Amino acid sequence: MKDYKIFSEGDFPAYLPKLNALYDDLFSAGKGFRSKLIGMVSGPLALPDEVVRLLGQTIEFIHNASLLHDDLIDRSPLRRNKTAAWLKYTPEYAVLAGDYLLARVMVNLSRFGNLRLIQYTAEIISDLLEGEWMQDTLVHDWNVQLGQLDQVHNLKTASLFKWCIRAPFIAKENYDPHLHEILEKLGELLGLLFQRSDDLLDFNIRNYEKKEVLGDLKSGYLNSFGAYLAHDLSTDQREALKKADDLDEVMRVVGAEAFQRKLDSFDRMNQQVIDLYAHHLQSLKAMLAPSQQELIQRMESLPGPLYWRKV
Amino acid sequence: MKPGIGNRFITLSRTDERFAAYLDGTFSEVERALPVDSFHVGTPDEKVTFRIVGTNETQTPSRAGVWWRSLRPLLLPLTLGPVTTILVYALAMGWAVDWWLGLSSLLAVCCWHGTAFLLNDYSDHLTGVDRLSRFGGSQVIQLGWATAHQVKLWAFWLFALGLVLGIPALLARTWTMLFIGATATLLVLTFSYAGRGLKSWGLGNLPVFLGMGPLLTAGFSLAVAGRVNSSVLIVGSLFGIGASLCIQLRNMENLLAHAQAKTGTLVSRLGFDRSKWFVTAQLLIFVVILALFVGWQANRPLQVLVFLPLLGSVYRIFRRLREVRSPLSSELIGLWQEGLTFHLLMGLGLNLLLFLVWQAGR
Repeated sequence: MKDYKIFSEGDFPAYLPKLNALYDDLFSAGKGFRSKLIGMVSGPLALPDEVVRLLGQTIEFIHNASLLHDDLIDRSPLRRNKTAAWLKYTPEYAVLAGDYLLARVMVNLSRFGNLRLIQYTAEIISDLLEGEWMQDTLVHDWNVQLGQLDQVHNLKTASLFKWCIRAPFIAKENYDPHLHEILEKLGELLGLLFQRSDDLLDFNIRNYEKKEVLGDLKSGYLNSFGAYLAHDLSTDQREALKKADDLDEVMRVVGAEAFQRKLDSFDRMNQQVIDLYAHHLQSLKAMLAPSQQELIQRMESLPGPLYWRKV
Repeated sequence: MKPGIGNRFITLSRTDERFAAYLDGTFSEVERALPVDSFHVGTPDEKVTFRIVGTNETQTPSRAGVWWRSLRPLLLPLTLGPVTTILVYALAMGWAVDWWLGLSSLLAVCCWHGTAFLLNDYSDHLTGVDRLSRFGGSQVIQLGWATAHQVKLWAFWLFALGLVLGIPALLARTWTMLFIGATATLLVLTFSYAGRGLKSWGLGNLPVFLGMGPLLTAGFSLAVAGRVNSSVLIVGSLFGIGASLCIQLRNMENLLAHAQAKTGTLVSRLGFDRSKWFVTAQLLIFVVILALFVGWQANRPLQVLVFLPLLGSVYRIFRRLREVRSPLSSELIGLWQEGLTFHLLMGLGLNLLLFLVWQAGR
């Protein structure tokens, strides 16, 4: 798969102080997973390079704009092991830099001229913001349940995955509603798996990259696995979980055996999601042209590593 | 460690000849088709993805457990509360009460209570409402504990049993009972069974208010005592508001899911902030009507103390609504059970008041 550079110096005005430096910091540390997903889907559709670059840039701009704002809202000091933009520069610059990325998205897409793509992108941005808004209301809510969090994640995380899968087809002017319904479902399932896998990292499950643990818990936010774990706990146990400083304390509160049982159950639930994804992918096969069938193989390889974090 | 793969799925469109059997659950004796995804619900293009599981994999409780969940007995006070209050009122007023007629009518009402909820589950499953939003109904069909076909049969038999139990009242007061029965049947059907029904237009509260309120109290009063007056209708209205509030509180718990599934409840149409105001306003209207009724009926000042627990419940609901920050807040969870408690306390309070009035008048 080709590697597409997300932005170049000419994308942002040089006369705005520190803006390019802020974006250099932001984009250089990211894995660019979403733009890679764009490349993965676009390849079998034979989209021109400049369109693929536009789509990849669009999704990374939207994603990173949300990160800039997120870090300020959460007062997170670090982003990708570097000082967060709001702290390194100023909160005002972080807000404006995020807004500027979203504005550039609209400028670039309107130049491209596909009205449906612009409309869909606007809908996704509003879904993302709705999800952020809802998630913010759940901070310090220690009784939140998995079903409620899934609704937030469907708006916040899954919306960008849906865009990555649908946007290349829209750019190719394929607007078949039945096709897009399947693509939307596939994006939703991938987003759910991604979020749940990310939430497991917070409890040091399959944390191969050695990310910091219990960050969500310490910020007062019960993530999806946290909510699943806490579901059967007593009020006293929830109070103790709230105050847990490290994983050993979490294990003491929940019980090591109970923790493992819950993890196994959570994994089984998500394996069901992976199997459902595979099922829907077969429906997609029947809707693609013969020249596009390679897309199925590419997409088949996604959910397993996404959730289990290893090929 | 990755668990073993054992999930089977099948996606069927409405035009597939197997669709009805999978949706109804009649496609197999030993397997269940659990709906996991629904596309283009309510259109000729509808498609449903089912997960196929063996009947031994559904973790089905005992038959009694399944019936307990699907008949929603915790909601029985919504139906029994008004009728027991009317019985006590009739005694307090010195009306001649036919006890056998009262008992058979009470049992008939219980049967139709179960029928209404079973039919609601069946139709919401078929129309996709309970498939789009996993927070509605009893979910016994979606969990694979019973097939839609079974639920429909249970509804039919309960309705028939209710008809048999209602025969004495029908024979005693034929035309009145026929009118009440026809109106009640129409309400149940328009609530959910006719297409997506009044619920989808945000008018689901109207049949709830009428059917669990003044229509129920008037019908029962006519059945057991052969008469109705304005007090019967006011008591019915109080219970109707209470029942309607319970439904609205339940819908507030699931507001976001209903809004995203576009199932069109009144609460999801009003939105989060306005729903809070709407429910609060109803509570205030309720308190005013209750105060007027109590002022009219009570013949000793201390009799009003029977409503202290009810006022406590009103305050608790009001406080929780004020504190809740988001439609996903866990503060909303269990709010509708508080609504049921409110309804129960209202019934107990009214029964106690009328009993004390009756005793004081003897």
